[in-house]
Amino acid sequence: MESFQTSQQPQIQQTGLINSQLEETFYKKKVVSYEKEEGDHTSTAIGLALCAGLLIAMGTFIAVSPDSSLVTPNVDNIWHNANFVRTIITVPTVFAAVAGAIMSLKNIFSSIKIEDRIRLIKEQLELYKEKTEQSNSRSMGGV
Amino acid sequence: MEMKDLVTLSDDKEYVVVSKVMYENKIYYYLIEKTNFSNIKFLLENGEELVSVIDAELLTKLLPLFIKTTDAIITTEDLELMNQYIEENKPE
Repeated sequence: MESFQTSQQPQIQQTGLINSQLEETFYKKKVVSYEKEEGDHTSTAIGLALCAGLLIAMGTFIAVSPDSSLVTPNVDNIWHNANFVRTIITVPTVFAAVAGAIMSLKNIFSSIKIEDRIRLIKEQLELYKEKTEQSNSRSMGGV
Repeated sequence: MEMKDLVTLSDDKEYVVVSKVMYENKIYYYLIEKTNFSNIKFLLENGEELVSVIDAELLTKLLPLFIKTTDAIITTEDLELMNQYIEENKPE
């Protein structure tokens, strides 16, 4: 399990690889800086990262439930699909292909109005919520 | 740490706090490296430490919460930035 300390301390001791490593890896840690967004440059980077993070999370969520079910995906699948979905951010053609499978995220970020993009994302979120509730009902012995 | 904060972890990389949720009385974070979107982390706040979450079942429960929370704070300007980024990175 990786670990990052949030207190300020001098060292960095890294004993394994970052990210997508499922073995118990420990990072001794520090938060070197901790700042609010400042200036246009940082705000832009944060805004972009937020959108990318949202897309990755949405894609990962969908990827782990390809049959519209959230029942017992395994951790290997989660990370495998997460790695794949990450590429949608840097490879627009893949992005478009994935988008087609998940209700055209391509349209969300192409030509339609900002207001419509937001509406579509919200609709997707409602869909995920329904899937989650249905899955929970099934796992609890419900319908 | 709060959403939209910029933090540097022990790997000396800067991360944006994309999402923060409370689940079963514990605080979880979703971080993405500011300049490398392929580097994401799901972390549990544990005192002075942030511990990676690698439990599949837990992640599946956290993801919708992360998505919902993040969606609520993304602005139209953020979406425009994303659109611009995709346009700029289209292959020839």
